[in-house]
Amino acid sequence: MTRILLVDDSDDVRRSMRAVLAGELGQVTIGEARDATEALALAGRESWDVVLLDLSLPDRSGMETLRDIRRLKPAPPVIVMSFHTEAEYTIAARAAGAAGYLAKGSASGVIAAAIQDALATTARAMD
Amino acid sequence: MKQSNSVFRVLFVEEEGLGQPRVDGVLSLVEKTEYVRAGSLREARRLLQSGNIDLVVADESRLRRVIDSIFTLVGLFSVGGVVVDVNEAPLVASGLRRDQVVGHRFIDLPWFAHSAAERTRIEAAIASAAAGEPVRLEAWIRSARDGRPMCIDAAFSPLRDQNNLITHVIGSGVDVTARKKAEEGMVASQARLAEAQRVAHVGSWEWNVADNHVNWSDELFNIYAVDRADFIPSYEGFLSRVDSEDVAHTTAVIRQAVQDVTPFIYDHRIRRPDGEVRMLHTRGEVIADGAGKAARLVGSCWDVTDRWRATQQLEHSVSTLTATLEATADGILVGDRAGKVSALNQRFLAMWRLPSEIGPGADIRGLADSVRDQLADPDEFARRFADLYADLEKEAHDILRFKDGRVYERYSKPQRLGDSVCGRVCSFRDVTQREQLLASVEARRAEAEAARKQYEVILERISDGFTALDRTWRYTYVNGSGGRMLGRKAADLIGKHIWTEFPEGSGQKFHLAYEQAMAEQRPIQMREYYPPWHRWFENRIYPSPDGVSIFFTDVTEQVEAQEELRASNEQLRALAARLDAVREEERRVMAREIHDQVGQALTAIKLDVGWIRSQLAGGVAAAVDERARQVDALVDQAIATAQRVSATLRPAILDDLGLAAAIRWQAREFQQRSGVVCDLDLPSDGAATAPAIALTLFRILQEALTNVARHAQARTVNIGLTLDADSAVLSVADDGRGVSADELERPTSLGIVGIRERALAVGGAVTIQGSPGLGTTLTVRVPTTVGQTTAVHPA
Repeated sequence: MTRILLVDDSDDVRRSMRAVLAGELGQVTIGEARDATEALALAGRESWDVVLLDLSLPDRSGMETLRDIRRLKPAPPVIVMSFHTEAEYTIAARAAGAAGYLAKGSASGVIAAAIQDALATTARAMD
Repeated sequence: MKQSNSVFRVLFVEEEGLGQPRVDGVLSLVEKTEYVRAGSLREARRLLQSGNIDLVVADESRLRRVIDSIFTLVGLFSVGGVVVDVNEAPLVASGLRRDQVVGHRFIDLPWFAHSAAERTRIEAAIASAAAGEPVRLEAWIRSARDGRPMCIDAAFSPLRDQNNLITHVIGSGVDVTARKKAEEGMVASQARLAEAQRVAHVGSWEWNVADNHVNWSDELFNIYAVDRADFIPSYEGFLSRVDSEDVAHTTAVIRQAVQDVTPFIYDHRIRRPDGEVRMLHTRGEVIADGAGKAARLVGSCWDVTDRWRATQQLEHSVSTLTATLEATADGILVGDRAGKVSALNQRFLAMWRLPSEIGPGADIRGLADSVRDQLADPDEFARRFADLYADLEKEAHDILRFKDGRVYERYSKPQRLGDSVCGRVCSFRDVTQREQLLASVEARRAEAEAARKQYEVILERISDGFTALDRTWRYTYVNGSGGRMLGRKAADLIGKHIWTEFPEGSGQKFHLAYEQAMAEQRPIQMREYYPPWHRWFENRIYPSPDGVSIFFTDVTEQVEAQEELRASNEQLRALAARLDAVREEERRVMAREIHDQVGQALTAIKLDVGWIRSQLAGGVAAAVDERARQVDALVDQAIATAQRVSATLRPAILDDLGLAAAIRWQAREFQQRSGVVCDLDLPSDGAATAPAIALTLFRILQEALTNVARHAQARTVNIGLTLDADSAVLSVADDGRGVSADELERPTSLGIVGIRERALAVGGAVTIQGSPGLGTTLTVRVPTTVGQTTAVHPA
């Protein structure tokens, strides 16, 4: 079962995302965090197949949080979600170790594809 | 002595001559005595030959008188040196009485009291005579009367009796003091002659022609500077010392003198061994032998070198004076008392247009008459001439004006020789040019005076204060306004010293500026507060070599108005900065709201719509599915709008990714929007910049790019950012038409004003340079060290 950690401060967004993920990916376990502190705690405590990380967090910069998660051992792949669609964000997120970048407002299929892509990449790397 | 019982015959000789002294004692021994008298020595000699005479007695008193009357000093001494008798001469000479002398040892007499040595010599002489050996010596005695030294030529000889036994010593002496003195005087006068020769530099010589023996005086050796030991005088030796230029003349003179046996006088130079040349004046005489031929030449030489040199100098001086007289620019005329020219120079003749052959001896009145018509006023000239020559003592200085415009200055003074006037010296100087110059200077002065009056009229009308100060800082002019501003009557200040009148101003900045303007001779304009009066003045200080002119205006109101304006500008700027900061904050808040609330809501809606659509797939009416698709599309539009508005309000990229990323994004946006190609020269994205600085530079970049798009007509724009330790520099350079200076200054160029104000708010500075046809470069430099503290954030 795919384990996904969902990090976003908006309860509405997390709720909607849960539904979309369940619909698109079938059997998934979803962990939720409302801010960077919770996210890092959960990411460190449990094992996740992928982390969906909103860049705009109330307590810390999303980019910094991304870097911290990528420093965990083992480090789960992180897909960044952001309201910002400027290419600079994509580049910066990639540079910080993101496995993908999703604009908020992306269609469900795009989100699912991004997650599957990240999982496939991880699996290849583990083989 | 013959003893007899009969008659004792005594012959008295009354004439001077024979006889023996001291017979008194003998006579008393004779009982019966017969006296025979002889009147003369011849008779006495006859009586004696008769043989009947026992004793011859000469008239002792008479003999004594004779002996006493002679100058020879005669003394009879015992063989032991005691005085037995003396004649009058030594008593007179010594001032002693006979009893003070007779019966005393000769050497104990006062005559010898001065010298033990003399006493010893005399004692020895007497002893010698007493022993039979006559002695002659010169003895110095001292007069007992006046202490005067006397030289005595003395002889001591023994006196023997009939048995040839020495009974006494006879001494005689002659006073030779005068002769001695004369001898000494002779020696002294010879020395004096030599000394005189030495002092007068006169040497004497003698030349025996026959044997060529030449004798020189000591001084002549001195004159030739040769040593008597080294140089044996001879005619040839003499000639060898004569200066080569004078040898021919010397030999000619002497040959002539010898030939003619005539005295001669001539001057010639000699050369001393050390090469020094001396001039000698020689006088000689020729002494002829019996045949009338020259036997000896005697003469004397004076060393006249000093006189000769003085003469040479005098000649030189005279020629110098003459040359000076001719070289002078003045015309010189010297007249004697008789009114004749005694000297003049060529310049005088030229000045007076007189023939050049006129010279000493010409009649001055005649000269005056011949030139009087050249004068503008001949009668006046003649009258003054008469005045001058009427009074020998008169000194005059006057100006002579000529018909043709010449102007001469005349100085006339009596010429004096010692105390008396021997003539008159007139000097003439051509002052025509000077007079013309003076006239033109006077004309110019009058013009300047007129101009000055005109200026004064103007200066009195202006509202500025005006004062003129001379070099000694005294007022030479104060206009009415100036007087009012200084609180004085203008006329009362003239001639007064500025810092005496206004001591409170001494040392103030205006004072220093006056001094500086005067010292450097350059105008100074200054606006300064004058503390003593609590007023502001603007001074324009114009120096000249004669002093300074100062325009001054009370600008207190103006300064205060400017100060108010400046303060109000400051307030406005602060207000504007504050407003801008508030607006930025509002934007930031709004952008955040849009992101956090609207954006998240739209995100959730988008996901939900997507989920609903997936649930509806295939199981609902086509109309529902279509409506769901439309909602999805509307949500997409709303999200895009929210993203755009948020980014416009406050680009989150600036806060999230930094200035470089924000610039890169902005440039891409701009390029897409305007078509102007952006070249970037940026630091890496990681470089951190303080948020206030980053925001300011980003907003300036946005303004600059807006200007490029609106005005530049550029094809490319280069955007550079440089970050160093203490400053950040943003440059935006386009290749458009180039902004003009006018456009930069135009108040309506709000974009530029905004850029400047933004930079100013963080302590930065903006330079904008435009080159027509080449583009515009904007450079903003802001300090990164203080930027964070400036008031951009709302406080």
